[in-house]
Amino acid sequence: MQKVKIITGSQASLTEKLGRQFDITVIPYYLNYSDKSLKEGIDFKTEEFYKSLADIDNLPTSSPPSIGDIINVINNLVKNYKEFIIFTLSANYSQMYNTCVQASKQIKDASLHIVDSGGATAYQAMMAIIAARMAKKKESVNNILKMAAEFKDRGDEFCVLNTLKYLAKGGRIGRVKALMGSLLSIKPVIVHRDGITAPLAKARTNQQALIIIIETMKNRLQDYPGHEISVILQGVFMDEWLENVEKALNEQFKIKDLWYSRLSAITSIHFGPKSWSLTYYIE
Amino acid sequence: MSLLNSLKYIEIINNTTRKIEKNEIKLNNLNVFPVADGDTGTNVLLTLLDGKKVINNTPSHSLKEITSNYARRLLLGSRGNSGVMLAQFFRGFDEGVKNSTDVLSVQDLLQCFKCGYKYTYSSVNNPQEGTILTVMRTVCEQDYSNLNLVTMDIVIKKMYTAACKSLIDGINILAILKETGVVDSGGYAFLLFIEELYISLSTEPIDEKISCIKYWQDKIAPFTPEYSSKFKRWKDDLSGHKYKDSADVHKVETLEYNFCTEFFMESNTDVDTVKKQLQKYGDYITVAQVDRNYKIHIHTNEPGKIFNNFEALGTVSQVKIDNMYFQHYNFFNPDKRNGTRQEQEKVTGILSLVSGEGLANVMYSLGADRVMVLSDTGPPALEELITGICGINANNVVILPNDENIFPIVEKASRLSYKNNLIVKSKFIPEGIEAILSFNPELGPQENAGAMSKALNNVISCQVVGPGRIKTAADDSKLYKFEGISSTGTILSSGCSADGALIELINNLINNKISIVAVYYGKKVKEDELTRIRAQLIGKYSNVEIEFIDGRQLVPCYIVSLE
Repeated sequence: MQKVKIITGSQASLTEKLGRQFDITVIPYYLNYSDKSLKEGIDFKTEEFYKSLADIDNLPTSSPPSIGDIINVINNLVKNYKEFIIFTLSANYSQMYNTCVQASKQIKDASLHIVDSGGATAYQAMMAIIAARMAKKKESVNNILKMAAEFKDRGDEFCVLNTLKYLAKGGRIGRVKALMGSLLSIKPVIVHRDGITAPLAKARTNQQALIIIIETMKNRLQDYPGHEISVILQGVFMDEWLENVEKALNEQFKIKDLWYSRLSAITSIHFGPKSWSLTYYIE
Repeated sequence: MSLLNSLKYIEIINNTTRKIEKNEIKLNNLNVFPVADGDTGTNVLLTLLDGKKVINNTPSHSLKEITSNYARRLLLGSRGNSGVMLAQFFRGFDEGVKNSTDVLSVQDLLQCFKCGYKYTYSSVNNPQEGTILTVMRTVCEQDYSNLNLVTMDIVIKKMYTAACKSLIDGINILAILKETGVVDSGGYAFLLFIEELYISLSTEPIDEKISCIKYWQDKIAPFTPEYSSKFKRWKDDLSGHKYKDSADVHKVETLEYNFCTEFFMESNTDVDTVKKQLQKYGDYITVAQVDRNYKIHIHTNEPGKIFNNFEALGTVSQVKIDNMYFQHYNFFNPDKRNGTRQEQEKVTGILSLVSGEGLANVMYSLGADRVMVLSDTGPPALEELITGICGINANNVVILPNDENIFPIVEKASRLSYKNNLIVKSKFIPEGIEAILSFNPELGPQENAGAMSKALNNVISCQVVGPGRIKTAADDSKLYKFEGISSTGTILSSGCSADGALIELINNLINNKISIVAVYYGKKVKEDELTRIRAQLIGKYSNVEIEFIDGRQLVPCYIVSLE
């Protein structure tokens, strides 16, 4: 029996399939409407939610799981595992980290490690997957925590938005704000790194964005000659395009694993339709 | 008895620089002559700050070496009328030091002052009384011989008293000073220097009774309520009657010459010839010279002509041109300032040249620091370009010409201007837009210029031009032809109407690699024409986004980008 259980929030954008494959428990976030509160993946399917993105003025708000939710999840698992690592969304964006820390104080018969992933969506998912892989190989908690601490040296998440409107509306625009106000349609390429969202470049087309991303990855990989990479691709209504991305990556890099995921509902509210992201990890 | 040695000299220079720094705004406010462009304090400060770099880094303790290094550096770094005059003063001062021992006695000091004054005076073409020159002269012309005991204390006090008095007297000498009730800004700066001399060299504290700074505080005006109201009236008069609130006004009645121009020249030509040549072009001419190196300051309307002419005499470089009308305008409309000191200085700025106001807005929205809308009549004037470059608050300027025809003049302006300019050779607006999109403020200028040049090829640029007459056998003069042409001039479509040629052009060029098309329409395009185009294009290509942008260029009717 493996000793360490990996947990993450639903906004990490892991599909149910990937969750099962890597034995990662996903705690759902909530979408809040005026009359109801729905759990992602339980009360609604993420892909179905995408349709409602078109109505930007009537988007639901989101909230992280409660302390009680987290304690419940742990209590259900505590028979089989003694150690847990929870990867959360960057504390800059969400209460999740604090909620988990509060929850851990109330859990006596297991050891809980809370890790601020410093990123969002697939960055966090990638960290959880790498951790779960290590857990399966029965690596120690310390080794897994060390991997997480050094993750930022080996991985990035690039997000390409079709518009900045959704990010601006959600108020999580930060340094990307400088790109607002353009009279032309621009696809901002942003990067999640060290807990913040920073603009990497401005592109007019997805193809240009991809070229910029590949260049950035190549530069990063210069320090890791010969290494393979693993990749997560995800998008909102971007399946056809992501196949192009996969092709381009195969031409440029040695790929160990490439997983397709989908943007969580919570994240899609901030990114908007036709956005996509590429996350890589240098193996 | 106190003497002036190298340590004292350094102390005086450093303290003067600090004092000017503290008084920069005051000096700017005092600046009404020769042009009320409100930059004297800034110019003098920048001049002195440049000199400060060498004065604290000269390893030698020799006064001669220090004054010589300082004078040379000051000359190279001098800005503005007063800056150049101060630089000349120190150059003359240095000549005086060369002829004395390494520690200056009282007589030596007076001699150095005289040399300084002489140099300054000779560098100015039409010396104006009531200004810094008068302060220098008055200080030198005092009778120091009859003093029974010529001690440093007595001499310094006398110099200081004379300077104070002369500065104030200037108000009655120069009409504009009298009208506005202020003392000359450059003269005030010079007085601050003498005050530091006093503090460092005299054993006595400054006599409050003669201290100009203290005593005249209420008379050196912008600081009193009385003055403020007077100044405001004057400002209102000027802004109400003579100065129009429009960027289109290039000439102002009260400004005979528009461009405050400074440049370096390396030449074997003698100084008198240089001055004589300059007189043809303007006034407030200051020529400073060290060996073959000239630093020239002039107010003129034809800087371009000067450079063309002077390039035959030697090598012109480091050109700085300020449009005094705008400076003047900004000075009187501080709330509308688009001046340089207010904006935060950047490492690299972007200057973009465009042919329509709408295109300018696009460029601004993408982060250009300055966009010049060129007239339709021909290439921009050299001085306009240099002014544009100089107006950007960054030492490195990336220039996007967006028009192949103006590359030569842009290159010339870039070479002459004192900034580090990098031209990204955008031939069309869409290329310029690609370039500016790939600008990253976190990278250095070279890296950016490289990335921006690389980005030029991201886009297909073309345009619809016309009308030209179609040659038909019947020679039906009602038929006019429009053509869609590629960036290399190949004709890709044609039609009897601009919209017809545009639609055919786009239809011909769209393929499955194109995901975005931008149409920048010109001034002459009518609303119903646009409606027709939208109806025919939008929805036709499901995977292509088509944007319409009001470029407001006169020609061509349409600029199109596909990527």
